[in-house]
Parts: sequence; C-alpha cells; structure tokens
Amino acid sequence: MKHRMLEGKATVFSVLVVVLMSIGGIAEIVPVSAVKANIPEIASVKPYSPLELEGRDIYIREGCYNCHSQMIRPFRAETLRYGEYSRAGEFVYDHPFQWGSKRTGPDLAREGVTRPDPAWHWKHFDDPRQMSEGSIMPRYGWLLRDKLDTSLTQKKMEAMKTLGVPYSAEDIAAGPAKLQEQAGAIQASLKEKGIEAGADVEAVALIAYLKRLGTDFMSDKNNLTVPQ
Amino acid sequence: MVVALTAYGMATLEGPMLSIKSVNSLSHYTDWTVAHVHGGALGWVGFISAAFIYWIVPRLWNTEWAKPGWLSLHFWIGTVGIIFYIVPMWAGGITQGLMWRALNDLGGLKYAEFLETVRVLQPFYLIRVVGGLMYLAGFILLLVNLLLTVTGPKTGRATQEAA
Repeated sequence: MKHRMLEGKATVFSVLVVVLMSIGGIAEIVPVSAVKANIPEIASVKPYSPLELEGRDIYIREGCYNCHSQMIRPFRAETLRYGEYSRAGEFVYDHPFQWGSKRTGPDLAREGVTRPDPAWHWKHFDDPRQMSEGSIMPRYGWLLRDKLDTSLTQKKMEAMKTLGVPYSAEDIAAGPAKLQEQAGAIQASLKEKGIEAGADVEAVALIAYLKRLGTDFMSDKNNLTVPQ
Repeated sequence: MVVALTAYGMATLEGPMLSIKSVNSLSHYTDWTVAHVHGGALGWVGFISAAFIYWIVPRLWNTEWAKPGWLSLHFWIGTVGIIFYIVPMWAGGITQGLMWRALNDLGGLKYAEFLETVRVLQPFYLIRVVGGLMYLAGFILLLVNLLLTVTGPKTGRATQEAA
C-alpha cells in the first residue's frame, strides 16, 4: 500500500529517485575531484603548443579516438606492446581527454616516443597500407592537401586557459608565430625524407600532436618507477 | 517480446560481469564491449520498440497491417541478424583480448605486431556487416509496412480482443 502511494505520484517519485541517485553520485564524485592528491602533478608534463592544439582538434574532428585509445594499462602485455603505462597526471591539460574505449587500431598514448618520424605519419595518412601491410585504417588523403584553419588558434588557447591550462598572455600573443615555427620544422623534417609538404596543411598539425603524445612523461627519467 | 526480454536479461547480466576487474582486463578495448552494447541496443531497445509499434499501430488507425506476413519476417531476419552481429563480436573480442596478452616462452609478446590481431578479426567483421544489414532490412520492412498501412484503405480491425 505504501509502495502504491509512492509510485502513483510520478513527480514525487521522480524527485525521490533523483535524490537517491545523487547521494551515490556525490559520494563517488566529490572525493575524486576535491582531493588534489588524487592526481599527482608531473613537472615534466606541459601544455600543448598552438600547433599541437590545432592537431588535437583534427584528431577529434576525424574521430581518431573511435579506433585508437590513449591509455596504457599497467599490465605486462600492455607495457611490452605500447611502453610505460599511463599516469593520471599526464592528462591534466587534455580537455577533453582522448583515452578512447576501443582498439580497432593500436594505442597511441606513447606514439610520440615510439614513432617520432613525421615522414612515417605522412605516408601513413596518405595510404596506411604503404606502411602497414593489411591495415584496415581508411586513407586520410585530404589531410595532406587541406589547409589548416588557424583563425581560431588564439581563441582556442584562451578557452583552454579558462579550463585551467596555464597559458600566459605572452604565450597566447606569440601563438601564431610559434605555430608557424613548429610547422616549418616539421616541413623541413619531411623534406629531409624527400616529401614536399606545405607547412600549412592539416597533416602537419596532426603530426605535431602525435609526435608529442606520451613524450612529456618520458622526458624525465625520475618519473619512471621501473628502470627502462 | 521474448527475444527482447532475453536480450535485456543477457545484457544486464553481462554488464556487471564486464565490470569485474579481471574480466574487464581482458574485455576492455576489444569487440566484446561492442557485442555487449549491441545486444542491448539491437536486442532490447530495438525489438521492444518494434513490438510496441506492431501492437499499437493497428489500434491507432483502426486497421490491420497491410502486410501481416512481414511481421514474422521482420522478427526472424532481425533475430538472425542480431545473432550474426553479436556472436562474431563476442568471439572476435575474446580472441583479440587473448592475442593481445599472449606471451611467448621468453616472456615477450607472442603477437608483437598489432596487425596480426587485425588480420584474424577481419572475417568476424564481415559476418558482423551481414548481421547488421539483415537487422537494418528488418526495420526497413517495418517502415514500408507502416507507410502502406497508414496510407492504405482502413479496413477496421478483424478481431477485437478484450482489453
């Protein structure tokens, strides 16, 4: 009878359900976000450069995260395959994080460490079968041709700043120049391998992003608990 | 209804099982998760929605389905489609998980090339496409049947069972 009274009143019942669920939610979420020590800071982890930030947006636009994860679990089989396992502090400047949940292709959390060569990525975007026989990844030829839209780079940096990424006013002011500089370096590196690429195409930004992945943590040997 | 409830039961049993740490260590990142969510989406949500539409449309328009035979046809290609979709994803997902973690006698990776697992999975992906197309075809039948029924002559309902 009591049940009937409760369940018969849709609004009251809905509110009570929300209250009940919130208690569980609060108990789980609040301690995680309130206790700072949950995410130990890693000094060598730095914000993305302007070009890498643009590259990350290409990564998201093309849906790379649907098939590639960026989170190596602390299991022997995973660290053997992909490298040092991922730490929470490595993702503090990722808004949003790109952990993914499915590996139709391999994990990319240490891609910058294991595959730093821009030429490999360039050819792989053009036709993955060139570099990996039997790969089922689609071709991304337009990345090699389409010009990168840099009109919003500074705005994107400001948006990241509101989310807690420590870009200074000088960083943002120097953003476009820094972007050109880094793109030029990747262009030069591609040229060394005989690839004539424009510095202003989308692939260059995406390569910059992929080259960065996982490198910050690995750059400081003190971060490693197990000697490599 | 029965298939929908079975799918609901399986998906809700499978969910907590996949949340167990040791099971998840194998299943995470694999197609097992894909099998699981499609059991819920195609089996439970899809089938219960179809069952409801098949029940209510004759009552709303006071008529019979224009193609009554299509109802059981939809049911069967849908059911077989789900099986063709989920079973290869289960098998593929577990295969994938086991291959990723397999070590050789020296303690190194047995399948060091990620591509080795991709090659093994390709037949599973093909069967899944067939299953998905069958399931989609079932819902196209529903849609066409619905249009024919709603736009066609209203015949009134043949049998009025007690509510």
